[in-house]
Amino acid sequence: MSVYLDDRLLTETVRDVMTVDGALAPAVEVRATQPLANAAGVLGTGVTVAPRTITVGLDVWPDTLPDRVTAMDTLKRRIGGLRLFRMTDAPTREMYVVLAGVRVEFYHISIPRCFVELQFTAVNPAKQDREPLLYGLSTSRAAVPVGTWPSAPTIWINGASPSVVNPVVIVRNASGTETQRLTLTGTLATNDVLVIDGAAQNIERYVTGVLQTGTASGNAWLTSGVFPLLDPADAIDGTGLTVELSATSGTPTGLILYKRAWA
Amino acid sequence: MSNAFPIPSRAVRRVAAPVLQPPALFSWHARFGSLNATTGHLATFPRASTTNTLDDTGALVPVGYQMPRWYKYPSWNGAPSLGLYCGTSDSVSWPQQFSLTTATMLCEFVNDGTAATPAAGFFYIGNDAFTGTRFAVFGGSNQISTELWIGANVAYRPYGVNIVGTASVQYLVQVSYDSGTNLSRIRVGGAVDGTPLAFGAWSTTISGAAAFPAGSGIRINQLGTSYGNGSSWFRRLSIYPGLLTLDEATARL
Repeated sequence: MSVYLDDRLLTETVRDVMTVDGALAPAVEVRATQPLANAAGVLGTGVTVAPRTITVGLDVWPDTLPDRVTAMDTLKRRIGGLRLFRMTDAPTREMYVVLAGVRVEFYHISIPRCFVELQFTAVNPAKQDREPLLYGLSTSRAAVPVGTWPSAPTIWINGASPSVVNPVVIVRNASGTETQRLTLTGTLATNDVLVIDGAAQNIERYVTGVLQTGTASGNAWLTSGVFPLLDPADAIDGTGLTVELSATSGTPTGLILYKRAWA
Repeated sequence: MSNAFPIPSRAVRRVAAPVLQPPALFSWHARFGSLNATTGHLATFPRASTTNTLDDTGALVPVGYQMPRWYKYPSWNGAPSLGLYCGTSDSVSWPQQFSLTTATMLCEFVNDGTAATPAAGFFYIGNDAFTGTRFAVFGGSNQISTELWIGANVAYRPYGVNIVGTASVQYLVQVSYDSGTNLSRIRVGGAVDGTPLAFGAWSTTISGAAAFPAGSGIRINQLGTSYGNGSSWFRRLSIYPGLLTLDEATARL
């Protein structure tokens, strides 16, 4: 078993990966609780999730003491900054990590071999599929599978002729019940497009390929609701969640692009 | 304790959050769902008209006007994969700043449909006018070939096998440049449908140190601003310093 950083195996640089702690444990959301006098508290609406800490133990075994310096330099070049982390036993899932600390243990100062412990922090503790999923959207319900953690999709809504007036994005749970709605006010003509970025919670509006700004921007179309979130709480075993489009008039079509996320 | 040699301490301040920046000269992956490269290069994407694309259900669905045609190719080396589908007039370009150097280029694509359109581009480094120092990978009958032009000198190599439509192509080009003698040569390798293709012979050696012209960019699907392929699907384009094998190149972000 080994670890990839930015698609490169750490075992290209070191002899072995001996330990990996914290990568597989599911991330847990912690809901705020509101105390009640003389009664059990109730769950609030606030949710926090702690960054994930991953500790990787490496067996660094160069031939000579000078080689150890070179090995450590090479390792340092590969682990600093923002990296994509994944494990060989789950090669289709990755997460972003930042190096938070390094600890080196020498067995004896004159023996080149040493144990290096790397500590990474993943501010977003969820792992994501490497391959995104792409589905067409229409006024029919499009089934979108999810993982074990919410995904923030990118949604395109296309204009048409006759124009699409006041487009709406609707998310339903596995029971068919509407759980989320994003209502926009405006008219999408034939060559107009809205791009809804669920992660950045931003809407871009293009008219004949030109990005609109200010009062003509997509964000100015926000009327009510929430940016769609593909939440496994709306699914049963990762399936059953649907996304559809609606409008006051006209026939909206679009696309949804996202990566399933895993706790 | 002596203060004769005080140790200066100065915190290194970073004013922005770290950004993923792989040690590549350039790297773009469709799977990140952005036309911008992971190396920070911002994309320019002109594409007129609307069209359809293939989603994960296998259905053809509409794509908005001038929006990227993200396309779920049903089988890239046996598994579905997201890429960017380009028609004849479509192209994505990124700014290019590096000089002639020893490097390895990896382009993963499918020439969807019939044989590669003669002289139509797959990927390209150079100016829009297709003049001066430039690097081009282009089709011709069933063959996909590579040329490196330095001034009026050209090094040419064909791919080792014919490329049929729908094949998963990992096109790998090594460029060897000696800055001391200003001599360059190229060779081509990679894989087709997961089957590795050994590097072919090196091209003839050409001389020259002419830099890429002003305004040069990195581009897929066209050579300059023309010679586009009719139907090609791109998954990745990466350029790394040094001479890498296919395994080494694919094992980098």
